[in-house]
Amino acid sequence: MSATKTYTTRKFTEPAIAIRWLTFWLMSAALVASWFLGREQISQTVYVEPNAEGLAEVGELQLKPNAIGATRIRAEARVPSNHSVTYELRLVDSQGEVVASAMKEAWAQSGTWQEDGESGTWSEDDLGAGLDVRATETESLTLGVSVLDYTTTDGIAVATPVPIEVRASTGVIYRTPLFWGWIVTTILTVIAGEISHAGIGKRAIFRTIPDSDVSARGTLGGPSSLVYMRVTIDSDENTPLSFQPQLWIRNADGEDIYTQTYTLKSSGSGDERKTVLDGYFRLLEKGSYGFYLEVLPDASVDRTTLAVFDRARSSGSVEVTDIENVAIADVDGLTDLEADSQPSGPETEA
Amino acid sequence: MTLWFARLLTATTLGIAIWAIWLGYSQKSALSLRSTEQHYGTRYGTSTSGRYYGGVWVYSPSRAEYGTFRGGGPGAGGK
Repeated sequence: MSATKTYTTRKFTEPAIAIRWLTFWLMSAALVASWFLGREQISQTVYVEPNAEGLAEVGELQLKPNAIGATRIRAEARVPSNHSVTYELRLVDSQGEVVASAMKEAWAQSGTWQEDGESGTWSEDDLGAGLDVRATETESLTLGVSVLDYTTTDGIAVATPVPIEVRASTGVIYRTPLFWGWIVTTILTVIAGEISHAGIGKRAIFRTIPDSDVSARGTLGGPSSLVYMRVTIDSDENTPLSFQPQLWIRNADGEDIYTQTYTLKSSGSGDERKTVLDGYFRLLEKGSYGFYLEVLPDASVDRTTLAVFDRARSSGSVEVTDIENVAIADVDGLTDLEADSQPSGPETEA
Repeated sequence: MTLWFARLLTATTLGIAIWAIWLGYSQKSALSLRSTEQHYGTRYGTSTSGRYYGGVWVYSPSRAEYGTFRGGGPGAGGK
């Protein structure tokens, strides 16, 4: 066992994976932070007479040009069912000139329905309005609301004042692109994760058999290549708590150069369980190598899949075993190997 | 091939995230006061009822209808 060395390294980390996680956290942080930004300036309910020329003053709005966020004016009309109201949010300067205005055709409707002897009621409304403004200079503007048109659904004009709840906050972030951006970023992160889990690198070996022993040979390795081995064990409901798969790697001459017995906690539930073993190696000399795997205990094993990727990348810090192309003394058992572990044996030297 | 695709996907994801954050935080689609250059996007089904001509707010024709609808009078159609 003198020809191997195991250590933990980040040297083979794929930067794309780290950047992807960074992107996801950046997007999430931007979305969460947006909830806490914004300072309320006005919160008031005004009763507005229906008059297109009139203006119900809500309050003074202090505006400042800011790189981040805008001043958001939100309003909600309170009208009874089957009424529609067209109202306008208006910003007026100290000379009485309109600086900006926005209009909402709001309505509330309800009724009954009947179908196949069943009946019920429905009600729907769209009463909210909103306007985001960005100041280009520091100024104080009067925020007002006017009701342009107030009628019943049948078109009969109503003369009673309309209660309108108005709120205004500064430094508000536009959350819609953040929300959609978060969804798209999350989907792409998951897809990219699936791709990198499927193995970034060149698949040098792939073999799947409905048995517990799997072996295959491929050309791989080299001093700068990370070799990623993924073993998938499919097993039934009699799966033990852990598997002890044993791996042998053989060189071009058929000599064992590495052996390892893993203790692997089984995972999954029901009668279709899947347990995955990941291994990272560096086979210092490029060449033909055979991977031999035997899963024990094998009673519950339905299928074993061996995939080995050459020039792979890791998603972070991984434990890598460097293996030199040097035959190990004895392949029959680890006890013999340990007895032979002094590098005095002539067979251990290439 | 897979690595190349994963990197492209990561770059795309980062690009979309930066773009979304910029759109949200810069509030570029808010109404820019007294500015003729606008990238306004409506919020909560609320449309602006006018636009700037040389930094002065002028009501749009659809807004002006409301004055005459109630019998008109002086000042109908906005200032």
